[in-house]
Amino acid sequence: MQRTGEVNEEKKTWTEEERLELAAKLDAELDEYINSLEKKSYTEGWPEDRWQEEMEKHPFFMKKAPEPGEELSPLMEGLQKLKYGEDENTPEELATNYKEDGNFNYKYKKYRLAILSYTEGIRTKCKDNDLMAQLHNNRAAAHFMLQNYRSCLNDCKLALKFKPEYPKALSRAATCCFHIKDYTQCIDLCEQFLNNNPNDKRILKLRADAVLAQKSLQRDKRKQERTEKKLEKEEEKLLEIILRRGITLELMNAKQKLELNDLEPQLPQIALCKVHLEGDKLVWPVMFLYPEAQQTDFVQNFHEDTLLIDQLIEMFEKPLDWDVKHRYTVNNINIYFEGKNKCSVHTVDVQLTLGEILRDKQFVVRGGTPAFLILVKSSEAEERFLANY
Amino acid sequence: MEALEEISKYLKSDNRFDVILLALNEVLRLTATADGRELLLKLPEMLKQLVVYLQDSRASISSCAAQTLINITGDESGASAMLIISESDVAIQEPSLNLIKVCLRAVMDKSSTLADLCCMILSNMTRPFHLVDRIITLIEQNYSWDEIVAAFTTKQYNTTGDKLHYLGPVFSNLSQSPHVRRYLMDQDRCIIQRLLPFTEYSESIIRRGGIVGTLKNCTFDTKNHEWLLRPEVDLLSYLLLPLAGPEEFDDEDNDKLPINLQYLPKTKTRESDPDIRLMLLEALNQLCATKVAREILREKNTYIILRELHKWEKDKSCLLACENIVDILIKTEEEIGLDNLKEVKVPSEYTEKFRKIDEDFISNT
Repeated sequence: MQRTGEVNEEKKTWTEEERLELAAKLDAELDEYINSLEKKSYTEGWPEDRWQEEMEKHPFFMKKAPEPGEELSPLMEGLQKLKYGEDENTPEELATNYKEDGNFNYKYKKYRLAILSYTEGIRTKCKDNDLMAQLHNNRAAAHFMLQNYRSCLNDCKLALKFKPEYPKALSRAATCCFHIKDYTQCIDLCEQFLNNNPNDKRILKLRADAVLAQKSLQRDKRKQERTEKKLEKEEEKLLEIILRRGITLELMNAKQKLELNDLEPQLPQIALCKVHLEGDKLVWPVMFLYPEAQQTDFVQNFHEDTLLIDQLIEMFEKPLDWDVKHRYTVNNINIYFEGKNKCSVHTVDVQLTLGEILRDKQFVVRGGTPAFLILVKSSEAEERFLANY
Repeated sequence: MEALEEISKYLKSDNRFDVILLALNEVLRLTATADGRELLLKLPEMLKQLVVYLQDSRASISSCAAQTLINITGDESGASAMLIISESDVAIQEPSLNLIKVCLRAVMDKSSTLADLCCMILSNMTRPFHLVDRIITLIEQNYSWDEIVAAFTTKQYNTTGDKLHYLGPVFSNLSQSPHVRRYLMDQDRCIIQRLLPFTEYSESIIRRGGIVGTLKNCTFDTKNHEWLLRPEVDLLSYLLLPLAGPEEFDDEDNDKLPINLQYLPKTKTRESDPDIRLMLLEALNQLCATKVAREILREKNTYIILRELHKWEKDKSCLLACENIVDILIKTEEEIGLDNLKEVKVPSEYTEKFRKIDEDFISNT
């Protein structure tokens, strides 16, 4: 009891004044201690204005993996060295690490990153054939997801080189061939797969689909070849008939032989109306020129057996839009064509058929388009026109 | 006879290469005649020795033995004798006396130089119908059908240049067995589909003919007609294509044909061998037994292919077979009134009459 009282007595002796005095003393001792330490500047810390950026780079706080070529924090760089350094790892360990990285990226659908990882793994050229096969197969899978079917196919084939019995790689290769429409190779790879897995429904279907697609492709090719041959034949017939008619055509580029190019109309208005055959009769695009009025008319399909007069009657049945004085009538016009060397002009007998006119020794068909000039009879314009030749 | 027994002794006891080869060549020469072969069949020990030498590592010896066995098995009695020897073989002893096993081993061995000769032996062995089931038993003891089909359909399977073409006739012979046909037409696999393209295989009439014969046998099973004519199998395409020539059809007719026959080029030629053409037509005739197949054949414009074939054909048997098909196809289903023609009971007196009519047609010049 006395002991207890003794403690109480001692505690009571602390006064406010005494406390303040003690605190001041401790502060002084601390200051003295700090001052005794070596003086150092804060050199490696994060600058105040860029702390968030630096935080992002810290491996514990970063929100996304570094992009290739992106600056790494020293800590991350060190961690990478442990994992990827050639001094710390055998080629097999390296390849395995890269494979795991690739698989991680693949799982999160980062297929391009996955490809880069697998590629680094492949570059180790480690001796483990199974591992190398896996790296190629997995890279193929990433390419497949990016629809890089040819790259995928190449990787599948490389995987199969390292590991000949590799069903995953074989079936993926077959699927790629289907996508690039190499159906022959697709069927061949399917059959290789089925040699060891005869009942695989997916590959059985893929093969059947490839066979059907191949048949359609081949049929379409045959059909196109037949169409082209038919067209070629018709064109030959056309040229033959024109030559047989004794019609003179102006040849392009001073050639000696008539070709289809020589029959292409040069004018936009009739570009699609080439001379063609109806049965064994020629049908021409024909151009009519009105020098006085600076006007042009086109007849798209002029059958060679049609009389020129009949065509003219049809053309002038109603007055031409620009012929306000109604001077151009069938009975009031003359028809001319320009001669072989463009130095002469010849009157056309309108009672003849187009075919007969074209066979005139002086008539030259230019640009696959017979051309005629129309002028009002006994007009001043006609006189001036004729004076030019 | 004594001379043969002497040779047999040499073959058994002597190890000298030149003596064996000389003796074997003598036996080979003997098998070139029917009398010689008949004589050999009386010496089973000699026949066994030939199987042993077929497995000899010296190529000229094994090759000579193979050629001898081809000649022997070319006769039905020879094939039968070799089968008895094969069946009596003890499974584990080497060299084996099981000719089927030995031949298949050579066929399946990619680097064997005897593969083609062994295919010929197998073709001969499987030809007699009454031996087929027993041979199938021997085959299945050592190999799967999948392996054999894979070897046949793989391009350049054999690395020494052997082609395995005679496996075609082997399949044709074996497909006389319902057991083998069930395998070929297993809908959960892809077997007959891999054989179909060979109906147009220009490099070998043997392979082509063998596969066409196989397909013809498959058409006897009417229950499979509908499956065989589905787009994913498309048997009709492969039967008609060899019968189609360079004739042109308009777009409407082309669109009705199987895809493989649409817009054929002017360079298209028909199957040149009349026996193969006849088998193709007989297969089509079998398909005409069922209503479902008849309707598909009509729908696929089979008639115009047969019409053009008929104009071109010179062989009497083929012409008759062609007309038989057309006669059925141009009838309506109401006129025919039967789902399966094979279930019709034809009185025996008419069977003979029909056969005689056909014979008269063929023999008329």
